[in-house]
Amino acid sequence: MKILTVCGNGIGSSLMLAMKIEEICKENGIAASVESTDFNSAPGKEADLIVTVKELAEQFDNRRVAVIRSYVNKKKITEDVLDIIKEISG
Amino acid sequence: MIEKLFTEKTVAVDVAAKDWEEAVRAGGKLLVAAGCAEEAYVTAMLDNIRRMGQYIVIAPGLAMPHARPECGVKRIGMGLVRLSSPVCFGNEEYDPVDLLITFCAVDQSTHIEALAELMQIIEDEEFLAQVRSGMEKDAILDYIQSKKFIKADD
Repeated sequence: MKILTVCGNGIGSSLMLAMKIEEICKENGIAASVESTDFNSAPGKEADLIVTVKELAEQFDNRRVAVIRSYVNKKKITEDVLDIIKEISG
Repeated sequence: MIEKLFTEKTVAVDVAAKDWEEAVRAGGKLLVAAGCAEEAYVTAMLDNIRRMGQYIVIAPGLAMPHARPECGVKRIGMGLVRLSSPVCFGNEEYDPVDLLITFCAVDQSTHIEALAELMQIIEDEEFLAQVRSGMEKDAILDYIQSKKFIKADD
């Protein structure tokens, strides 16, 4: 599955989030490619799941979005995304 | 890698700022003074926060202001600011902020190693607690220089 992490610039928070999600997927034996991107480019990119914070989530009306409370706290990220990732990866 | 980025010029302690804008400016000024970014980068960091919101406050009391590479970055840089008194960014979960880590990157990828190491700093609660309780600038730099970073295994 393909996961897109999104923040304002695509080079800071979303990149750190992508690293965390890669770890989480690996630990749970889920094959996923994770890419980070900026808010403006995100709508044009394909993904099975978009992961971002509440403030930026609203623009993704018709997409599958997981809202995270933290870009860096692995425990919180796991709580916020793992169930959805498991469901999608089926 | 990160030990080369946090330097005498990019770390400042007990910085006075009356609001988040002043705090971000103070952090940006360090990157400019160190020759990592142009003045325009500081403005871009402020604009980002105004436009995109307060999500750059990424952990309790810790903000990570930054902007895009094309907004006046000269070379990769990272800075740390400890405020003498905390300011609010408007982030419900993690305000008030007393530590800022600013960074500038030249593209989307060459700083990945630095960011991976930075995450290990952010997760080093003991170190952050020491920084907050008045750790001297030299001691902060020494700590970062000597910290053993775990490399990503892939």
